[in-house]
Amino acid sequence: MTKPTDRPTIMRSFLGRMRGLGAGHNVFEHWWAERLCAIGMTPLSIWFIIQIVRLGDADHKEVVKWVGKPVNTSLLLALMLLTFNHMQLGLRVISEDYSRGKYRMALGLLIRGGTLLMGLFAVLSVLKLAFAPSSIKE
Amino acid sequence: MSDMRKTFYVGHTSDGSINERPMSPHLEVYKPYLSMVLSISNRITGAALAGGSTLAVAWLASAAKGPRTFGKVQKVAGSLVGQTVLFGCSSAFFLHFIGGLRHLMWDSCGHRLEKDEINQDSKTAVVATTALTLGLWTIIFGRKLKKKK
Repeated sequence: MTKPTDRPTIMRSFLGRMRGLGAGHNVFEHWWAERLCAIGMTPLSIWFIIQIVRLGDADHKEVVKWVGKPVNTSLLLALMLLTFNHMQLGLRVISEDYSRGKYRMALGLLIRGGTLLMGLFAVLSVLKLAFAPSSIKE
Repeated sequence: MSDMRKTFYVGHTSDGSINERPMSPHLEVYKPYLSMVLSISNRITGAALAGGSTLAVAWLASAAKGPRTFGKVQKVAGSLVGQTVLFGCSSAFFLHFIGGLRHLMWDSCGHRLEKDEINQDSKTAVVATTALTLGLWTIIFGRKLKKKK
C-alpha cells in the first residue's frame, strides 16, 4: 500500500500573493516599473546615441555647451534616472534567479547600492556641467 | 534546507517510502534554437549594457572633471580597443533594444505571440540588429572620413 505523502499546503491565496503578501513581495510593481522605464528609455536612448555620434570627437567646450542647454540637461537626467532604475530592476531579477543561500541578499544589496551610486554620480556630473561650468578647471 | 523548492520535490518509491524527486533538467539538455538563443542573449546583453552605461557615465563624468581628463577619455574611446568595445556595446544595445520592444509588444497586447510568429520575428530581430549596428558604424566612419578631408 502506498501512503499519501506529506505535502505542505499553500495557505496564501493567489490574490494575496499578487497584492505583495507572498514571498516575492511586490513582484508586479517590480515587473511593471521595469516596463515603464523601458518605454521611457526607448526614445531617450535613441536620442542619446544620435547625440553621441554627433559629438563624436567634440572638444571639451562643445560638450559642456551641449549639456548646458536646458533641453539636453533634462533629457539626459531623465535618461539617467530611467536607465539606472531599469538596470537595478533587471540585474536584481538576474541575481534573484541564479543566486541562492547566503550570497543572495548580499548580491541584491550590492546591486541596489552600486546602481544607486552610479546613478547619483551620473546625475551630479550632468548637474555640474549644466549649472557650474565655470567651476570646471584643470 | 538551502533551497525552498525542495519542499515540493517529495515523491515516493513503489514500496511507499519517501524519497527526493529529481529536479527537472535545465537549458543544457535542449538543442539551441533561435528564439531561445535570443531570449538568453537578451539577459546577457542587459547585464553587459550595465557595463556599457558605466562607460557612458565615465564619459560625462570626465567632462565634469575637466578638459584634461576628458581628453584622455576621448583618446581611449577613439583607440582601436575603445572602438571595439563601443562596437560591442552598440550591437548589445540594439539586440536588447529590439528584444525589449518585442517584450513590450507581447506584454501589452499579446501581439505576435504565436509560435511561427515568434520564429519569424526572431529572424527579423537578428537581421535588424545587424543592420542597425552596421548602419550606425557606417555613419560613424563616414563622419570620420569627412573630417579628415
